[in-house]
Amino acid sequence: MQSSTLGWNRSATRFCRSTERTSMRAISLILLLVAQGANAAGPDFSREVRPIISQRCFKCHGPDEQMGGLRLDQRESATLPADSDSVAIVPGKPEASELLRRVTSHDVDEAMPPGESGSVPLAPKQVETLRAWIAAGAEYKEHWAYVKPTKSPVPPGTKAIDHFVRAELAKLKLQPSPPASLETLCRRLHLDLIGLPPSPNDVDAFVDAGNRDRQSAINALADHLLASPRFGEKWARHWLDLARYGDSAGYQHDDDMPLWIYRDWVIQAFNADMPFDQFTVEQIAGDLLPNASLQQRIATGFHRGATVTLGADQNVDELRAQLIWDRVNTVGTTWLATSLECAQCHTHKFDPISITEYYRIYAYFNRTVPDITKEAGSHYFITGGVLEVTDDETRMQRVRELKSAMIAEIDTMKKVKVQLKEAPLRRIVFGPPASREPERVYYYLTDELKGPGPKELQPNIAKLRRLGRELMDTLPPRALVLEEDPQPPVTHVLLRGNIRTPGEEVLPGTLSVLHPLPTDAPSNRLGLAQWLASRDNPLTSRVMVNRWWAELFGTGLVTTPEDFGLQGEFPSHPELLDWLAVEFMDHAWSVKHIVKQLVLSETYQQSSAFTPELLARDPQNRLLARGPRHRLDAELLRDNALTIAGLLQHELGGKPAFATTADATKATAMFVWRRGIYVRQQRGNPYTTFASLDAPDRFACTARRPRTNTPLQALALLNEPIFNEAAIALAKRTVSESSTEEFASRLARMFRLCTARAPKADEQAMLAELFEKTTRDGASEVDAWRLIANVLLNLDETLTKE
Amino acid sequence: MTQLRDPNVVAAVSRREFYQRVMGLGGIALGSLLARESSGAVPAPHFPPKAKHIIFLHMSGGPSHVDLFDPKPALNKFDGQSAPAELVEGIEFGFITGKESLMGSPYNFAKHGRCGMDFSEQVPQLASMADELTMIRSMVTDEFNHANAQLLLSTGFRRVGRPGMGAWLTYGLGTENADLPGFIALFTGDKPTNAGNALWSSGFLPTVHQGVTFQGGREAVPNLNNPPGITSAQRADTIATIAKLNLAHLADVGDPEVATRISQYELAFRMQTSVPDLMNIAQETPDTLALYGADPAKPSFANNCLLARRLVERGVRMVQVFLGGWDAHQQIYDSMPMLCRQMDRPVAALIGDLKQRGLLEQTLVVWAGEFGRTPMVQNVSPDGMTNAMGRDHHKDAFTVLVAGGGFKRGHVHGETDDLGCRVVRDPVHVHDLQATLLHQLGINHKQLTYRYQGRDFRLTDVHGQVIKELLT
Repeated sequence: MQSSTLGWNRSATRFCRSTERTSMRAISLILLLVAQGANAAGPDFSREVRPIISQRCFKCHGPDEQMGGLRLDQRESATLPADSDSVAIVPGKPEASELLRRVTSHDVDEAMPPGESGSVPLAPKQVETLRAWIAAGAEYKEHWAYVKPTKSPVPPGTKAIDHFVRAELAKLKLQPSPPASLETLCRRLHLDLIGLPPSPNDVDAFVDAGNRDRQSAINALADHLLASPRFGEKWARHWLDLARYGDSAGYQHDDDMPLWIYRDWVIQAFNADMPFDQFTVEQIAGDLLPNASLQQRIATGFHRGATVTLGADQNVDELRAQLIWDRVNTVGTTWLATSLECAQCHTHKFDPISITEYYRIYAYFNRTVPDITKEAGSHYFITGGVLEVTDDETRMQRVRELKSAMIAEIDTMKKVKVQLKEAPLRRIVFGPPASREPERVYYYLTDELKGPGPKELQPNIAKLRRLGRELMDTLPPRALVLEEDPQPPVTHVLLRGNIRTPGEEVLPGTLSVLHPLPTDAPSNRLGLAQWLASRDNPLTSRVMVNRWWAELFGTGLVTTPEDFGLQGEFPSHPELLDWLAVEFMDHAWSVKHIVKQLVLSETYQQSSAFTPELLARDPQNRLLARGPRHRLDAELLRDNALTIAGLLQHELGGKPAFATTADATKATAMFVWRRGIYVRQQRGNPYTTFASLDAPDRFACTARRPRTNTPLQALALLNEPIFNEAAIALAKRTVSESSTEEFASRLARMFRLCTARAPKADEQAMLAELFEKTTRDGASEVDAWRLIANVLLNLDETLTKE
Repeated sequence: MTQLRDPNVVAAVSRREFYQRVMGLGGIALGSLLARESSGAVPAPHFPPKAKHIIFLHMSGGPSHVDLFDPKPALNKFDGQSAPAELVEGIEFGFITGKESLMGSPYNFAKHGRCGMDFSEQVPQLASMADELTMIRSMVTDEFNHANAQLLLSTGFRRVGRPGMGAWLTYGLGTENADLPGFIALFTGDKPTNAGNALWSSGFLPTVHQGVTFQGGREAVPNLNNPPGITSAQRADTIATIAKLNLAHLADVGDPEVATRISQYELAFRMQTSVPDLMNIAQETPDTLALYGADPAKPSFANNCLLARRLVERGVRMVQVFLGGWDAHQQIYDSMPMLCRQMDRPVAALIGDLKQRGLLEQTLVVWAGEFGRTPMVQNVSPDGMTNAMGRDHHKDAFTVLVAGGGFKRGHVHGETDDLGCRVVRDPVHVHDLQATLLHQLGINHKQLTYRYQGRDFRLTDVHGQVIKELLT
């Protein structure tokens, strides 16, 4: 393990100029105080006014820049004379407010926002909102997401979720949809909780139980599925999007990265329902817990997903900064739904986050040993914080033997007098000690050395290759983790996000707009972890319940799960979001508890069919007058097809699997028909089928996948090897498993495997027509069934959670 | 010989065939339903565009400007001497220190065309196109690493995660051919990119805008071919049956997404015909094949240039054509003639062919590396070879060529110092080039934005200005 530091900024000139303008905390207190005098008659500040001035004004008149001496994000400064002596906002007097004069001006030199920056004028409706707000007293309110959530009362005997949703529906005179059928609900629960479709037997059992007692059947099925080891495999996936989990380092060489043990840690944590505060602390700083266990150290693999640019000519200091920026930004998006990266180069244009605060968080992460070491020439290696995960002493003994045998062989090679032309050989023989490290020697000899090498050395090379091969097979699995540097470098603000322009020195710290650090918090990552997982944090629990909600309903209550800041969307049901956030913390941060509350709600259990009225009034289903209906995610489409076909391999965890049979050999065939979550994430060359189905390439933290509908998806689902194998297996299964040769009963079984319901008469007729035409054209019976299977696996209903 | 088949006719035939199968099987009128598109408003340019398409020829690795387009007699005169310290001060290099000797170009330069533009003897065919070209000798970039510099050139930002230019264009302008993706990438050569698919990514834009890579060989688009044992008649029958069942289900669930899926399966079916037809360059006349030096049997940069023409002809918005191998840290005068032989004729043929077909005015053809190469020699190669005779990465000056799309003809823009080290007149930053290309396509680069993570993003980040002097 490497433990040297990069000398990061240590010798850099120190600038002691303070860039902090005002205490952000003081601002938020002022906002809170003025909010109490709000006039109820005017437009709502948070919902209606702030989005306008934040999007259209703050860039030049906000926390970062105050052009013309005007700052509009605080009432105090907005109501004082600016440089021009005019006052932007005169509370109660729209006609005297310069702001209104400017946004309505037709004079190019005066009109705001200025035309030359490519802006268009405010819409008349927006101007009217501002006018009404100023007339009503121009009161500011603190941003909703920075105020601690509380539970609004719920009438006894009512489920909180349904109470809040129906209150909104009642306002708009909309009725909830009728309950979904038991078959649909059985499939919905299976796909949502474990990510796999139910078998016809599962459906029959549930329908039987549900006909006796609907609610207790749903309750029992939810408990059963929440306890399944498949639950973690489904729910870890979206966390791995946030963690930008990959099995390779990124672009350029795209080398392997041993992170899968961390992936399995996430799956196990979801299965064990690890309290989310603990889940947070262990991933942010598990290594710094007292007597940290192996598992707690593995949890810090979260941060090792950061992408690395391993270039032939890369600056190591810049690489380190890139990694830390990525860590800071990922933590910001994942736990706080705040895009910190704006503050990486300058104080945030919209949210109250200064560049100094950004580098305080950066300082927490600028204390670990380097991830990457550079060797003379163009060679970089992933090092620093590499754990060998085994307790098998015999195996480790063999590793040591092999390594010393290889070193001895290299010493023998050095004594052979021969002219060395090949760079890899020169590096092994003459290079620094690091390039004689046995694993690197093996890499040089297998991946880099072209040709046999000089005759005199061929026996040595052959022996080294043999020993190296065994070493590779014997080395225990590795996990990448964070490891503190005993002598961490000093952190400076990096002005304009440039490592060559260091500013003032900063110490670790958090964001002043949010809650204070716990008083006993240590000044390292553990302190940051405690701060993130604190009950006082207004964001973490809200951000998380919004994510779980989106997993089930397709869209969050806040439609921008990556941004709860001033530019994010206002929640559709703010009281519901807050109720869930408090409920989450009150129940020991139990994810399974929250998920169960969601699926037990009548809102979740509604039919997902559109009515013409709902299509016209609420096509996005923001009001939740119907149940969720959306296409399955990439990984689940694979899982779904393989399960229907009876091909899915069910081992929990393990090495990355091959995407398709074409990538595997006979010996590794068992690594193919595995769940999507295990498919190797080669970041520089992702599995095209998943990419076409909106899976991110995992280069960066992703909080929300788009859900597109494209011809490349159709081609993949029709023709790709995995889906083709699934169609063939489903056809064979249908023929071999059925006790009858009758078309209708075979078709019914196949149809139920795909959709959890029996086909209707017209559907059966359409499929019979295809079957007859195909056999009439000379296809065998199994081939005709294959075509039917291909059709059924591609039905919109099969691809969709209804 | 075979006359070029009108691509629109091909598409129409496969569309008709599809309808016939659906009608034949169930007699359901799908026409009005299939006409529906999933996207909302049809995108439109900000002002009347000069050009509609762009072919971006990316010379991956960074070609040497002083050996191809920017003659420097002084460099030859001072060959072997150290570069003046003040000249190289503050420049970031990949491998060299800057104290290395200057290395003159062994190639002869001559003036070409009515405009008298200088070209090296390595690119005689391109030189014959002098009067069609704008030659920008004053390009600068911020990045001296391949991956970062390629990302900057393609996505406007040095790190991964932003949409490629073609993704911005299909987002901003839509597509002109519903049978093909609007943004396509083609490759040849050793290490055609260092940043991989991040260069044609849709970034935070909807993935429908992602660039699609067309490969040579058996399958141009992933999963285009039916699996073994499925005939194309069977495929048509399956898609028709899927459509009928989905249509019946649509009546039950009322979700417009089902209608979109029906139309996308239909498009997939049409692509199964239109793409192989498009890729089949054997349809071209022998004269055209010879003009490019293209050989249908063997993938090549020449084939890709010809394909690029066929793609824009069919309405594809942007084609990125990568040719790798220009990263000459060693033996530059071995690799350069080889690469120029691959590159010179097809690029000149593409420009001439587009012009002859009346397509050059509406098509921007850009020839660019991600940076240039040093006037100084690189003595030690990255893997330790001495007396390497290479040139290192150079971000402070390089040359880019643009033809068509309303760029000036026979025009040289900007100037470097006597050694080709720094720009001394009219610098053009990568963001300026992007802003100018967008401008010709009818887009104000400051107004084509996308709100993501609380911020409006654009191709040119927060930089870039339209360089009017480049335009007619």
